[in-house]
Amino acid sequence: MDTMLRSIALKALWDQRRTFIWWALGITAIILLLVLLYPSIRDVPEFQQLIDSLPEAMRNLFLGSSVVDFLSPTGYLNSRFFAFLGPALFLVYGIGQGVSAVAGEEERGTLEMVLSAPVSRWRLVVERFAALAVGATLLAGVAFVVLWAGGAMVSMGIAPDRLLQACVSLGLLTLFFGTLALAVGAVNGRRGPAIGMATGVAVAGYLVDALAPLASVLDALRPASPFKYYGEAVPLANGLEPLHAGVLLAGIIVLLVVAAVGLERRDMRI
Amino acid sequence: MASIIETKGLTKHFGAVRAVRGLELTVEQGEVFGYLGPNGAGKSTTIRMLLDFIRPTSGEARVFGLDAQRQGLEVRRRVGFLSGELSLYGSMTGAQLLCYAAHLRGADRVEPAYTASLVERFQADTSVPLRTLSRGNRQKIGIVYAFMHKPDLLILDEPSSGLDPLMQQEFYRLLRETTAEGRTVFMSSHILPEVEQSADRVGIIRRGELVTVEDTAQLKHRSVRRIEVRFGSPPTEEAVGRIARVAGVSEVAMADGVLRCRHEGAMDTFVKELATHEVVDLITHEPGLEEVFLDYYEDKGPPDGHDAA
Repeated sequence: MDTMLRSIALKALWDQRRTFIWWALGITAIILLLVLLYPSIRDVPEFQQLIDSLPEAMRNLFLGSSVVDFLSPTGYLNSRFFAFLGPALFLVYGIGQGVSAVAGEEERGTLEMVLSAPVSRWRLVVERFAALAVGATLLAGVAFVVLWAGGAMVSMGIAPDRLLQACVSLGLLTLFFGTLALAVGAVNGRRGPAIGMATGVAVAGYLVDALAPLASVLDALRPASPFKYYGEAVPLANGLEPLHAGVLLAGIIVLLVVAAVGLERRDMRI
Repeated sequence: MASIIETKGLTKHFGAVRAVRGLELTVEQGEVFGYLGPNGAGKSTTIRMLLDFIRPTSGEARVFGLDAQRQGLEVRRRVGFLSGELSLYGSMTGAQLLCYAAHLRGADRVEPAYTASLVERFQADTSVPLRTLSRGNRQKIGIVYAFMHKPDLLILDEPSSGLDPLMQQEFYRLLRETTAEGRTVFMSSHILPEVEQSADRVGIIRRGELVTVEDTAQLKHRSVRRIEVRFGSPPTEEAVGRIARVAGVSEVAMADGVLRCRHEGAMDTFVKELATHEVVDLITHEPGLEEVFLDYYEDKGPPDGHDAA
């Protein structure tokens, strides 16, 4: 226990231990349900017809716009987990952690104790970011292990390295939005704007990315959507696209700098 | 003697609210400086600038001769802070919080034995989650947190609030020990007796402006009390007249065998005059801060401008 009180980052991890366990259990249950249902769904060809009969917009919104064969193992996992449900769940987790990193503690007043010690503000930001990154990595790791083990149980035969790369992409997206929430909270000091901004960008970014194939206006906006760099290249089928991963990583670093500079410059609300 | 805190024209505006205006404050090494003012006078704003939580609109604050903003890290290495709105991690125990605090300050700078002695001294319960503790018991943890690394300067915002009288006395003893070691205490309060008990000098702040700095003894001397005296048998009008003529006595009123008056300064003559009668009961009301301020108002008139946040 004492070890976990040695730094701001370790304490942040310790604080989210219960939250994390619940998230890990929830993600595990959902993935297992999806994966173990696969054999029964695969053997019912009507599902493909049902999906084919859906309007394209709806299909893109909930099943992703990239894979057409929904009943192949890759198509199934991609449409059922990586296209919509996975990012939705992971982003709720990441944004929640990002918001509490600075703005949450500032609103509760506990930041006062931390900053009255010889702790610089940028160190606070970097340590809270480190905890955020570890959390996102661990949760993506849980998803990978459960997807891999569950897939093996029902003999889906998905290449583990592809699965790993898809989970890395999911982890990067989670960290991007978590860092966005952290940065808005660091610049502004309030939880509300941090939640609102991060969620707004996520929803808008998702809609633009999912509906881009349907409208040229949206297609033009697509490079601005973080989701393009998460899923357009379909890492589960094709592996991680280094350029796309690099864009997400660069975005994370920019947001981290914004957070540190923003917090350094303003008056604390404590 | 070196100045531990020195502000020059320190000013902070929050929008239209001028929370602190042109503050010229000097706190010397080894003293307890009481920073007295009503709620919203700008006490906490000053403290937050000293700790670099907020930045001055203009002017500067120096602590240990260092710039409180640019060299804030160095400053805070040598400062212990007790907040007026103490927010501690509710799910941690006192022991965990103090352990975390020690690591934030650099574990090699904190002696666990000294921390333990403070915990024992204030009978702080460090074994249960902080959210289960009463206000006073959380305050004890806050005091240990502020003093545990033996800082050169203690910045204490309303420190004894919530403490029972016994613990308050213990706290004042700790302050005296601290200054005896050449360390310095800067303590804010809106309660005059709290400051009178412990401070060497008192600075009075009102609406963001420092009204005066005085030795505590002087402040006491000019302190005003409301007094009620119940006599065994009502004194004659002549006797009441004699009491009313005692230096420092004013606003004398006699009703139902109870004499009410206002008294300013040392009480010796007044008490001796009373003693010539049979006194059943004597009640003195501690001078309210507002009454002390009224004195300054009468001299200078209320400063205009906005109240601080």
